[in-house]
Amino acid sequence: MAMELWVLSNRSLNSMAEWQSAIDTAGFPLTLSDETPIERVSGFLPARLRGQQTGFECSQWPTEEFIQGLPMIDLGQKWKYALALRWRADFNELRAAWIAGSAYAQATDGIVFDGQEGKIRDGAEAQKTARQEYDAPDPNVRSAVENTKMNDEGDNGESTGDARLTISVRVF
Amino acid sequence: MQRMMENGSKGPFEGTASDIEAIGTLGVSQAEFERFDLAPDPIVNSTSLKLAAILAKVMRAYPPASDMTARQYGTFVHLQFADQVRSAQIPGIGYGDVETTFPEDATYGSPDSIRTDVVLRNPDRSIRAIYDVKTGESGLTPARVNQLRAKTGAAPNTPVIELRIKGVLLKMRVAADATEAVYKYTTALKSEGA
Repeated sequence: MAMELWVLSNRSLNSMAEWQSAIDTAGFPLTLSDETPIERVSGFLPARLRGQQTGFECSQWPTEEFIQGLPMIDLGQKWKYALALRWRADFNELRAAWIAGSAYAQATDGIVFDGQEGKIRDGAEAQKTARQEYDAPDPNVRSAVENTKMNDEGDNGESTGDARLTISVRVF
Repeated sequence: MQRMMENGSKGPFEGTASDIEAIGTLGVSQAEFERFDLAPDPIVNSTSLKLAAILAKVMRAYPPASDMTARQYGTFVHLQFADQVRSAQIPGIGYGDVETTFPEDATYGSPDSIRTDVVLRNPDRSIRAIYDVKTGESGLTPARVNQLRAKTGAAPNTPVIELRIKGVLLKMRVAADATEAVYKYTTALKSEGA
């Protein structure tokens, strides 16, 4: 179940040690595996968050293809590198991807494209988002339903229970 | 199976009576399909319908909670979807065909592995189709499609199918902005307190 963020930058980090240093500077307890050299990472990158095994998928991506896939998004400038970070249905992977991605962006003066919200964030803003995700507890079904009910019972019109959902099935 | 829609076109959904009945049972009406690409394989198309219906059912059952970010909500929906697909016992999709790590002999955490959302298999266990669920703004790209086929060992013409659901995103964006504002406010309060 892949969700994504993308780091766009004009320079790339040269080693896992450099990336790890950026994470350490941001103050998160995330340790990336240095088993695979950074230039050869193409797939799952193991990591430990608060001592627990986790990770995310990470691949250098064709920048032109990424840009062409998002014609509605203003990326501010033409970027040289695109790094895709993907997490599955796992909240620790979500946290790890955002911590690592935001640190990479901060260290390279890059930006982060949030694939869920469709938003662009600079490194500092992305690190705030990473902090927000890091601090948040795992949602669970009970609290999700209860919070939805509270939302529906309010008068703020924010209920999505009756929102029209549209489904798109696209074959490649 | 009757022809449903031209590949990539928009229009009314026309499935077989049994497809429509199955989808109706899951609470998804015809009008909700914005796009339905046909694969050359009717079994794949039928499976796409079932998975799309499960995804819609999950999103109806769990609209975004007030305290979730868009990223948490996407993760949460994927988690629920995975559970529902595992328990649906769809032909060709076993328990281990949801959130599968590839290459086949790799386990979770293996360096350079990838994970698929759902794979549909032939009776001989070869891969018949690969499904990728999208709840956010970005979609599948040709490079990702190629990566999925290559790392799974699927045949080059194996259908890779993006299931995308829209409809709560605008509201989620509002909710996420509100959540961010609350976060900034409470962080500022903490700083002042410190």
